Amino acid sequence: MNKESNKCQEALDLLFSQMEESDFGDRNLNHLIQKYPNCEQPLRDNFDLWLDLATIQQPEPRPEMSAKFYKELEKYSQQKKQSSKHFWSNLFGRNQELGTSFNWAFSLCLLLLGFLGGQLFQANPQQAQIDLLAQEISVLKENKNINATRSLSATSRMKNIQLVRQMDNPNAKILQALNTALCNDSNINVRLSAIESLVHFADDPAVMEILIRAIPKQSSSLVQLELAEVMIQLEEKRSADAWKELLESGDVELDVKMQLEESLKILL
Amino acid sequence: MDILSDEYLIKRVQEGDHSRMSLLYERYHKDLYAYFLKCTGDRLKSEDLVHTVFFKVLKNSHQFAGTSKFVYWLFTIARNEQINDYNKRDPLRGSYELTNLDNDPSLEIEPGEILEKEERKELLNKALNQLSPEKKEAIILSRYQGLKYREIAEIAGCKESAVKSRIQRGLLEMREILKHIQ
Repeated sequence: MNKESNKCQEALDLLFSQMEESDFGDRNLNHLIQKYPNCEQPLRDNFDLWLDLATIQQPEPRPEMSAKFYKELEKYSQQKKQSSKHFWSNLFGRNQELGTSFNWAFSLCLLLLGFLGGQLFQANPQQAQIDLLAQEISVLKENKNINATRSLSATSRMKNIQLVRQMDNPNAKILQALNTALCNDSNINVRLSAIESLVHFADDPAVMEILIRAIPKQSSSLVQLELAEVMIQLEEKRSADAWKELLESGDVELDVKMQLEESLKILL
Repeated sequence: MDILSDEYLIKRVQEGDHSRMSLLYERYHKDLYAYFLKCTGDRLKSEDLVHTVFFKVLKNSHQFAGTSKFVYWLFTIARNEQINDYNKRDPLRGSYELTNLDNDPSLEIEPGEILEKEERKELLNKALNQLSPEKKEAIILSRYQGLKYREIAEIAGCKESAVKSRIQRGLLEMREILKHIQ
């Protein structure tokens, strides 16, 4: 009896060792039952309960949770920027107290850093262009619509965004820049261009995250429809929540809403 | 290092690029919410806990040494927050209540429409709720977050064999509880 019980404990140990694997299934169970025929019942009981547990619903958080997070994140970043500005003004203030020799040393350091930076840009012109694009678009992010036209013309911005399509693997900085253009640029064509560039790299899960996250932020019907087209083509069901959020937000014109609801049936 | 890996993103956060937190948030906020909800049974509390965890990550990003995966660190913070929250609770309130389907208006079902399946889910919820926090945590992290025993052990600060044993004993207890409440 004891021997039998030990055998079953051994069988259960094996079962639990394998259960953590995501592809664990009937085949593994049957294999164990074949090996330990007298332990079929406890093996099945545990296996069935493990499967049953997956049926418990996992409710999604409310959209307000993310809204609150992004608002707080923005506030936190602003506070950090402010404290960083204070650091520099304090440094300059103290620098005056220390006299001209510190001024000279500090200026020399800055000059050296600038020179090294220049060398780096010359060494890799493509990287320099990419960095310039990222900087330009991050300026747009900070200044939103107000300074957008002062920086680069919409045509130049589109041209820069189209350049990204020639790259094999855009880095995180570029993806962030495209995300910023898609969410914040004042020009619809620039936003559409950002979508097209992002779609080039849609195999990348991070790119897909950017596209999905941008959905509820769009107020232009053209951009909304373009994103819907992309999501349908890519059969991206993970975008369902983002669409629901947009459709419930009131930022969608009635006729566009009907069109979206109809075409997105496959995803919703 | 993969430029879109969690470890790269948190490195950028450490360097002051706070915008990278949004990608990490998008990747993990639902998992953390599900984890907290299963532990606390309180939607608003779970949202607050998710919020707290991500801001702890942001403010203490320099503490991430990069010697193990970011996700372990994230869940370790989440676990500590959940334990703190649990300890703050009124002991007279009793044990955790897992997602209480009865109190969830979005999941309300007409009495006549209650299916056997739904009843089963409810019973499972109740049984899971009656386990000790350690056993429940091990089952939640393994079954719902898809973490390996080794990963759970790292988060919970115990041995891998202890995690396996907690799950095994947890399921055994659940079966006993189910026999009584069915």
